[in-house]
Amino acid sequence: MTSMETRTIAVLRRPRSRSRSILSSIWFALGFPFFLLVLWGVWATISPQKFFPSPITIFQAFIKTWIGPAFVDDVLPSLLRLAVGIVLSIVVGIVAGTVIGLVRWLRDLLEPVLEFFRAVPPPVLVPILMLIFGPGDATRVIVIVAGAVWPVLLNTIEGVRSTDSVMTETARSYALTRWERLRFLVLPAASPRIMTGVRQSLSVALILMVISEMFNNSSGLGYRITYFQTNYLIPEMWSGILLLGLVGVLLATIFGIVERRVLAWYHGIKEVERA
Amino acid sequence: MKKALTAIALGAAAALALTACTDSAAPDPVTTASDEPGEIRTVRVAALPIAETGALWAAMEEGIFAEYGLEIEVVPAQGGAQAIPGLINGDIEFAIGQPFGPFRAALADLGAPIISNYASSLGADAEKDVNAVVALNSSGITRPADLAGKRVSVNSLGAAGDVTIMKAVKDDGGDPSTIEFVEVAFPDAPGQLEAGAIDAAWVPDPFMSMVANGDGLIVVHPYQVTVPGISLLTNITTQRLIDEDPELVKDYAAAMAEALDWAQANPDAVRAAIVKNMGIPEAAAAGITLPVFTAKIDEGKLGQLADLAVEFGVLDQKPDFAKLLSLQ
Amino acid sequence: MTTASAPVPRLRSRRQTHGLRKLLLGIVGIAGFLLTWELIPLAKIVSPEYLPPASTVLGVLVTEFMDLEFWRNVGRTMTTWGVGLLIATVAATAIGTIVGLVPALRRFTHTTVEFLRPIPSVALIPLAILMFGFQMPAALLIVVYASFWQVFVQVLYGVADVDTVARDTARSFGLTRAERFRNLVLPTALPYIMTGVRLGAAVALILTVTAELLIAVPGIGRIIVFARSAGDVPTVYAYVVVAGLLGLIVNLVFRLVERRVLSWHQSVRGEDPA
Repeated sequence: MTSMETRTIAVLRRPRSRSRSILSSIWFALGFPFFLLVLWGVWATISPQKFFPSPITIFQAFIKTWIGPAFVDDVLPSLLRLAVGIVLSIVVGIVAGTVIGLVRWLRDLLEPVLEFFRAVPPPVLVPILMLIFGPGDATRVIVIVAGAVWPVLLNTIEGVRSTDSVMTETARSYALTRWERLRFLVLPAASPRIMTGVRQSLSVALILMVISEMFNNSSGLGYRITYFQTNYLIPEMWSGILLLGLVGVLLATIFGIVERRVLAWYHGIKEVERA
Repeated sequence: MKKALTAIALGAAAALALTACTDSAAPDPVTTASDEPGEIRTVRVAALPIAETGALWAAMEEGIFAEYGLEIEVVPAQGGAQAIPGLINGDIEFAIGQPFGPFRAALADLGAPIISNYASSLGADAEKDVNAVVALNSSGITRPADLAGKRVSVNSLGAAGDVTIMKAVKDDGGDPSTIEFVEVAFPDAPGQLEAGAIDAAWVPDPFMSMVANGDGLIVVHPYQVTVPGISLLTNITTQRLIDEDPELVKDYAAAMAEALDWAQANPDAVRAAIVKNMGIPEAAAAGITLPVFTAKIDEGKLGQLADLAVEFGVLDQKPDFAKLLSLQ
Repeated sequence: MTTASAPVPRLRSRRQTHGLRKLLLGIVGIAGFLLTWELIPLAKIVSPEYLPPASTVLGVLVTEFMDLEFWRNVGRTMTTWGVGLLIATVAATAIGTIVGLVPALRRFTHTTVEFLRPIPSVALIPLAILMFGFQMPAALLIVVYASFWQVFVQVLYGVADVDTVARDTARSFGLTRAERFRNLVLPTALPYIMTGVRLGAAVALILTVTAELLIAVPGIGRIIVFARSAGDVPTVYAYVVVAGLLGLIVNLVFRLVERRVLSWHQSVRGEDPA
């Protein structure tokens, strides 16, 4: 609080022109990857390895493989399943996490069974799930959710349990109802932890999307990549991995935008405290 | 005092439990039939844990490889996709794999040629074959043409399975382009078939018999109707090893040839080895259809397979057989 | 706020009864699950040939428990798991702390991290074999690559969450960088790191068994492969149960560790009645 009063002499920031700040963003976003690419390219030229083709070869394979019908037939359906899986994971994770975090006996009841299931490796779990739920898209989404829900769930539970006890007491003494406490105290207080969980679950979901397509499948991004792998189509395999990475970056960017909105109050406090 | 008593009790219980333990990995006394005390070289060979590997296991126990001064260590790889990187890394010296692996390796110029054959499917005049497309009785699929428009599983897409199935369907008058091929590992196929997740499955024994003797039927033996007697499994190594240690490769190939001839003449020994190494019950092992174990490569038939693969778009082009084969 | 000696024995017995209740509820949960498992094949939802009832599988499991080789395989799996988790945690904490504390580094590596994170370890299997053959290091590569990111992201968040008032106070008190790190950054980041290690431990176990399944490195996963190839379905499920049990035990152990390490933190203290 005191920091706000004494800091009327604002730390003058040099007004940067728009183009400069865009340039600096691009520099930060692409600088390091570009540097790594150059390293790879040099190494591939010096000692050519069959399993590590040069970036240019990979790029050409990328254009040939993914720009075209494969995009509509394989990539889009996979991304759709991924999106549905992520949304479901977040919803289930937050809802279940809040309930389990607040209701102690439920956690004690469910935790052993949940932890047990979590440890079953996907290559074994997927055939079992397919036996029960059939070979359709629903099963694949279930596979994604089965894995991606955990980071959200665990982080939500921890976040909900970490609600400051002073604030809880204050809310109680102000006679807020349970719902109000949940909405205005518990969830907002837990939201930084929840967002950490969501961030983790994005990449887990992507990984599981690939794994879910390795079994009893005939199309999809993950399916294509494993097909290339099994059949030594190495530049194509790397181009598939490249595409996965790009999707990951895209997801992260979207997440960044959403996070800034949701946690604006949190960042705001930090910003003010830092100033 | 209480804690000490508990500790003693637990210790006694543990000791008692240990005496009741079995040890399934206690090493058997292995008899090596070797007259000359020559140099024994350990060779790591990648082979799938499948019935066909029975010949290798049986021959190892018979001491055939020991006669050539070779001690074989079998590495249970999961198929060609892993065998060839393992070969290139040098962790394994040889691999036993289906021919499409070397096809692709030749096309990608990876330097992993075939040195000899290992097993082939049964010829055209045999009653049955080593693998088949099976379906449930209730599916209404009775002949290859019925597979058009259906969901058929193979263990590995883009290999001999889907190629020969497509040819069989085409020969029977169906449209192979309408078949939806999916990848399901052999052991999972019967379950998925029964659950209705797939319409038909391409499987070898013991799964082929499992379905055919149960609620299903054999639709077609794709190898038999397209390229009978085609190579099922081949012996693969790296060009690098051939260049660096031609003696070893020659010895291995010779030992393997003798082993395969012996195995072909001693099917009971092979079945016994399958029971011992895979844990399959004897009754099931007795019903397994064994392939023809031979080291002889039929180049013509390999060429036919490659042509079919190109015809159905599974391979972009026919591999260069000069790179593909390095017969010993 | 007078310290009353009377409530203390009450607190202890409360914790004991809660511990007992927790155990009972856990057992009830597991019993419920086993019952469902028993019923599904019996009710023919799935054929018992492909999903044997729980009783059959448990029978096989008991036989396996008596086999010394079983325990050796468990040991192999846990060794790969332990080594992989250790490498991943140390690397992730070290790199994560450095990157997290230097905002410029953080921005610089952000895209690369987000690019590499979602690449599935299993897609790297041929490369792992290419580099290490069919040996444990190949499985280690798969395990470490996956668990690293779990811990890394949590470390990044934890290090960034330092309370700024506390930081300014520390600075004005003239604490050295090392002291600030030990007394300020580490305690703030510790809950995050513990969650990260807990997540990483689970991921490491899943991937160890998966790598053993797919690469046939010795361990539990490899036995599953053999059993599958032989069509020995009950054994497959028995070992799946083993994998699940191991995951359960790992989780319990890490929970205990977390409670000890974070006994001062709100989320653990908040459990006990004020």
